[in-house]
Amino acid sequence: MRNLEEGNLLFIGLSWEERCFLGLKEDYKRFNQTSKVIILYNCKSEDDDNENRGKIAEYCLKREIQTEFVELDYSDPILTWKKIDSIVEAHKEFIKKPVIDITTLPREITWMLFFFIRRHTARIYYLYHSPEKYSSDWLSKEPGAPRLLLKHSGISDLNKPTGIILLTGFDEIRTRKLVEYYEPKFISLGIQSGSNFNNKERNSKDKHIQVIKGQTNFNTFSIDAFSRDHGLSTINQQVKLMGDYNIIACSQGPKLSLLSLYRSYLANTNIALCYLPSRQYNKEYSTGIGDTVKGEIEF
Amino acid sequence: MKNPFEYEAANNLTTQEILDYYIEDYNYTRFLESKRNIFLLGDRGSGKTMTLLYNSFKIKYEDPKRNRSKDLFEKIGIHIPCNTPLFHKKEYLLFEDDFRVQIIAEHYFVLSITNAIVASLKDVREVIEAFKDFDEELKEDFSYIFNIPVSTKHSFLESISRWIDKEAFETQKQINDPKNNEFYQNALSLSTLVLPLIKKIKKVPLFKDSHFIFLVDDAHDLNIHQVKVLNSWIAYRDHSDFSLKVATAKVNKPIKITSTGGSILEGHDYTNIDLEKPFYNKDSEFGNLAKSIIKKRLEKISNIDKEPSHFFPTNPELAESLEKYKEIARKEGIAKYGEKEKKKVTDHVYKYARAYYFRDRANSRANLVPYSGFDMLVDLSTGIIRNLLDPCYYMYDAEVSSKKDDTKIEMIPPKTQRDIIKARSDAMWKRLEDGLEKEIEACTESQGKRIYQLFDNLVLHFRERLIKHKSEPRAIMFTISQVDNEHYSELIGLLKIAQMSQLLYTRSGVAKDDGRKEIYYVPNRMLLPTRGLDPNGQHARVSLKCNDLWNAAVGNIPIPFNDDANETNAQAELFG
Repeated sequence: MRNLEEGNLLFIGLSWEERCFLGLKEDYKRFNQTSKVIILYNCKSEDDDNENRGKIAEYCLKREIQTEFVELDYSDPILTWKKIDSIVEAHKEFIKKPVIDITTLPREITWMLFFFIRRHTARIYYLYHSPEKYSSDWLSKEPGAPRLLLKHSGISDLNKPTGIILLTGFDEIRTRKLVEYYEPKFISLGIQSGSNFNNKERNSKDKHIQVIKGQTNFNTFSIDAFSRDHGLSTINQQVKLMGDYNIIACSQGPKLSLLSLYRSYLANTNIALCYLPSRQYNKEYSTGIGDTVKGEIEF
Repeated sequence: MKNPFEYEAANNLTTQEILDYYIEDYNYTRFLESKRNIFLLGDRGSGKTMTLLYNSFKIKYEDPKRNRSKDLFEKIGIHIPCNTPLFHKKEYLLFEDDFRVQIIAEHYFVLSITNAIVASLKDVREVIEAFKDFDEELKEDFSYIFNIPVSTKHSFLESISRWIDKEAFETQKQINDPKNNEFYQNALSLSTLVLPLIKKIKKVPLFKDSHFIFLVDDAHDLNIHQVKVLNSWIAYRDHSDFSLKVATAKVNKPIKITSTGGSILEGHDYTNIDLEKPFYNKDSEFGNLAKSIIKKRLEKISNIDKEPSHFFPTNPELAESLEKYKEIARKEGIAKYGEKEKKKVTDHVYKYARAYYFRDRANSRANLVPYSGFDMLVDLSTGIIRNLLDPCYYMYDAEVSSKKDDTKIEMIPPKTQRDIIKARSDAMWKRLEDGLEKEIEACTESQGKRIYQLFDNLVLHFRERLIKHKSEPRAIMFTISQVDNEHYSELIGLLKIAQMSQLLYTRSGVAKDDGRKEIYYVPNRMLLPTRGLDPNGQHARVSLKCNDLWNAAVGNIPIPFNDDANETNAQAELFG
């Protein structure tokens, strides 16, 4: 087996999506010094026995890469937080060159990893693999209540009203859910630009406005999570504009926007990061694998 | 052009907007100003926050009608919203023991209350004057108790306000500190901060007889630890200086356990007040409230001095048809009871006139009923203010969008009303068809499907009644019988999810059989237009067997229709 001290430590999320295993192969092409893969999975879903699990284990064994499957309960952020803390702590000696494949990791878990890893290193590499295509049917169901990320819940001013920055996704019901739950005085909707994956139709401004109209004040702005800074400067501009609010920031748009939102949080620790969980995802959520985005974050 | 029917959360309204929009109800004011602990129960959108805010000192002081009242400083209402980012923080749950969790939960609560007290008072002219001679002494006392440096530059209340800001900042910073998992050592509690502060304030003659009323809003948003803290305060023996008025939704009502494991009891520790009002006809308590709300909004926001019934006129064809069927029913009543039996004839008209109209529409291939008119909107609201404003908002919006100039909207044409009612009704059914699991946390896919089937069969049942039932054809509410059925609790689980989605409401009334109170269920009346039913309903509730409802939900089996069903004349009660 490879020596942990020399190679990269790679974190991925187990999923039934094809791009989970295909993504790992792409990760290895870019980080062929990987010595261990830590595979996080949700004990409350069927990930435990999905076929990608065996494929990953076999692939890594052939290349003498160590593997560790870590069971988490995604619905319990307190337990998950403690477990991720202990996993990162157990590897602290070998965490010099960590790589996170964010493709199939929930945003909340990715942010938790960032939090614990940055205790030991100031640089994280990340990878994201787009699918070849998304299902045209529903993507997720059974949403849980929105929750603020532990230790990233901002510094709330007792005399300011609540404002939300939401990077919208394909599901306008989640936009409504967020507004109904926090009852913000103002919401700024960040709409992904471009027409990838039928974005213009599935994530249209009007769809989101329609479900919150009359309930709160809003504006919209355009953001490109696939740009060089993944939309960081746009988010920072919105944060600045909403200085009179206790800001809750949430990403439902392209996965890469979680990176810019996190970086924006580090620059503005008074804002709160919010996660909207879902208990059920469509098994046909995505097919194949598309482009890969690779980068690094310096904390 | 501002839409007069915007229904954004009351917390986000300005003082003037609250004064402009709120319609005072003296019944509630009386309870809210008492020294008793009260739980104010109401569904989402029923006006809980508005009621609390209107009774807060801050708003009262700005109200020219009330700020000269002699008891202005005797009852100090302090509004404490719980749906704020501070209350949604969960870091303290990372502590291993419940005791510490409770302490931090109370600390956040206390910071919010103290801030609200000080923010309510510190800028009020009379208060500034009243404190002048006592400021130094109070500052010295406070500084001694809390071992804090108090600014010489600021007044007592301003100094507390600044200190609370700092405390809130320090606590959150420490608890969020990536390198620190330590417990916050300087945590504050009701008895270490709020009560001593009230005692100090009462040293000032203007406040010597003051009773502080903590108006705790959205208590259903509190987590279990925060609820336990709140209950401990309710169980507090001495309520001479303060009392709690807690507004909460009917579903997900907070538990009644205190931090020490005791319980609070209705009647002994608190009183429940139901915010919903009887809403059976246009002259009901809710009908009058609805009329006042719409009239006031039209006047204050759009500068329109019009009766709501003129702003939302009824389609002439509908009005004419209803008159025609009234006459048919009247003649029928006279033939049955004789002209002298006026009451019986009136009852006959009430029961059957509308039923005949909707029955004929249901049996014909005619287009959709031209749903319109202010009374129709009141019926469609199911007695919930937000439900009343929702279609009005969309109607106004549609009119603004279709206009080519800047002229005032003087009324909403019946056609627009019908189109929007149809669209809002269709949208509600779509939510059901798509599955409530898409929006409700506690709902699974299978429950979502069952709820849709249950509502579909309920409405089919109501339609069958409309066509065939001899005495109560327009009943659109139900009670559940045979509750010892094995599926009762699962059925109630489904109904609770429907309540959380505002597709179903509960009311309490007196049972016909034994005079005891019973819960009955009222489906959101906005569901009815899509199926051609009459949202007006009538004073009757259908008794449906638990098993039949369960079979409808699980097996999509039609609910059996029985013309002799045991039904009760309904009269909702204000205080459930």
